[in-house]
Amino acid sequence: MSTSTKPNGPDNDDDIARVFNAQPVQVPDSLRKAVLLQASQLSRQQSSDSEDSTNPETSTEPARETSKTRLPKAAWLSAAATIVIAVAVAPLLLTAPQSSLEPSVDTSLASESEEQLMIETAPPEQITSTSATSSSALQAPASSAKTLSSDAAADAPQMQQRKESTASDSLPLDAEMAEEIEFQSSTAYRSSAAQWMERIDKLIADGDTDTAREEYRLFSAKHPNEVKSYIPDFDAEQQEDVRE
Amino acid sequence: MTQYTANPSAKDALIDRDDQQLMTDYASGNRVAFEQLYSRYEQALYRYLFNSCSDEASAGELFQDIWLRVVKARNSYKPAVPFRAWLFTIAKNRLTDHYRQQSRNLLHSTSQTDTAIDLLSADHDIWRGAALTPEQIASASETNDTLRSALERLPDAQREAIMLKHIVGMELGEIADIQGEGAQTVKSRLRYAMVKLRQHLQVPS
Repeated sequence: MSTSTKPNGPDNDDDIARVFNAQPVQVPDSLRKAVLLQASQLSRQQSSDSEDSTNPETSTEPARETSKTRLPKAAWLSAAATIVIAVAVAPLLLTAPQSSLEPSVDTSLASESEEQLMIETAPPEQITSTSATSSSALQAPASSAKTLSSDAAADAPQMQQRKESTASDSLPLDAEMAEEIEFQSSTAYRSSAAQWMERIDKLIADGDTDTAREEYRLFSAKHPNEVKSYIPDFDAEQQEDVRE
Repeated sequence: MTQYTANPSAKDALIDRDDQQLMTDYASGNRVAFEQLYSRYEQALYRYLFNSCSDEASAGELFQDIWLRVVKARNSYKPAVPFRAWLFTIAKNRLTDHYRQQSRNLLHSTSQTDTAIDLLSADHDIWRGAALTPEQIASASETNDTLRSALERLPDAQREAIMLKHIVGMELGEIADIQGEGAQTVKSRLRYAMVKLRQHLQVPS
C-alpha cells in the first residue's frame, strides 16, 4: 500500500466534520418528553421496588411478624402454665391440715425482709413448736413443690416455717402494726417543724406540760436551729392559773 | 406535564460534575443527575441513531429504548468506565439487535469491507479525491437524507467509527474500546470511511 498517494488523508477531515456539524438533526420535543417521563416513572418504580424489597412488609416482616407473634404466644403459654400450677397446688393447700393457715398467704405477700423480721421477732419457742408441728403438714406442699423444682422443694420447709410463724403471730403483729400506724399518724406533725411547734404550744395550752416538755426535747434534738428561736413558756399556763 | 422537568437550580448545581459522578448520583437516587446526563448526550445519541437507521421512527424507538436501558442498568454501572463509552456501547449493541431484527444487511461485513478497501487502496485514484468544497458541504447539509444515505453505504464498523468520531466526538482509543479493536484498526476504518463518504457526497445518488 502506497502512502504517497494519499494527499487527502485521514488527518484532513475538516470537511467531513463540517458536514456532520451542519446536519440539521434535532431530538423531537415529543420524544424528549417521552424519554424523560418514562425514565422518571421507571426510576420511581425501581425505587419503590427496591424499597419494597427492603420493606419489612414484603421481605423481613414475616420474620418480624413471627417474632411478634411469638410474644403473645409466650405470654399465653406462661399464663397457661401459671394457671395449671395454681390449679395443681390449690387443692393440696386446701386439703392440707394447715389449710387454716390461709391467712398466712396474705403475709407471704410481704417482702422477704418483712418475713425475716417477723421470724426474728417471733419467740424462739414459738418458732420451734410451729416448725415441729408443721413437719407432717409440709409433706403435701413439699411433694407438690418437688414436681416443680428440686430447689423449690428444698426451700419449701423454710417457706412453710416462715408462713406458719407469721401466721401464728399474725394477730399480735397486726395489733402492733396497727399501733405503729396509729402512732405514726398521731405523730405526723413531727414531719414539719411548724406543726411540731404548734403541737407543743397546744399541749402547753391544754396543760399537758409533761408531754409538751418531752415533745420539746425531741423537737430540740431534731431541729437544733429552730429551737434557738423557739422557746415555749411551759409555766405560762401555771402562771395564769396562779393569777386567776 | 411537568413531571420530567427538573428543578433548574438543582440541575445547575450538577453542571460541573463529570459524567461518572452524575451516573453515580443517579444510581444513588438523584433523578436530576439523569436529566443532566440526558441533556449532555441526547443530541449525539439521537444523531448517531438517526444516521444508523433507515427511518426516523426506528431511530426514535431505539433512542427511547437505550435511555430506558440506562435507567434500568444504573445500579450496575461502574464509574471506572466512562459514561459516554458505556452509553454508546449500549447503543451499538441495541443497533446490532435492531439490524438482526430487521434482517438488514448494510453492504458487507466489516472484515470483508476492510479487505475490499485494502484491495481498492491499490488503486491510487481513490486517494486522489479532493476534499469537499463548501458548496458540496452546504449541499450535503441541505437535507438529513444526504449524509444519512452516504453513511448507509458504509460498512457497519466504518460507519460506527466515523459517527463516534464526528457526532459523539470520541478519540481513537475510546472508539477502539467500544469496537473492541485496536487503535490502528480503528484508524484504518476511519480513513476508509472518510474516502467513501467523500465519494458519496461529491456524487449524490
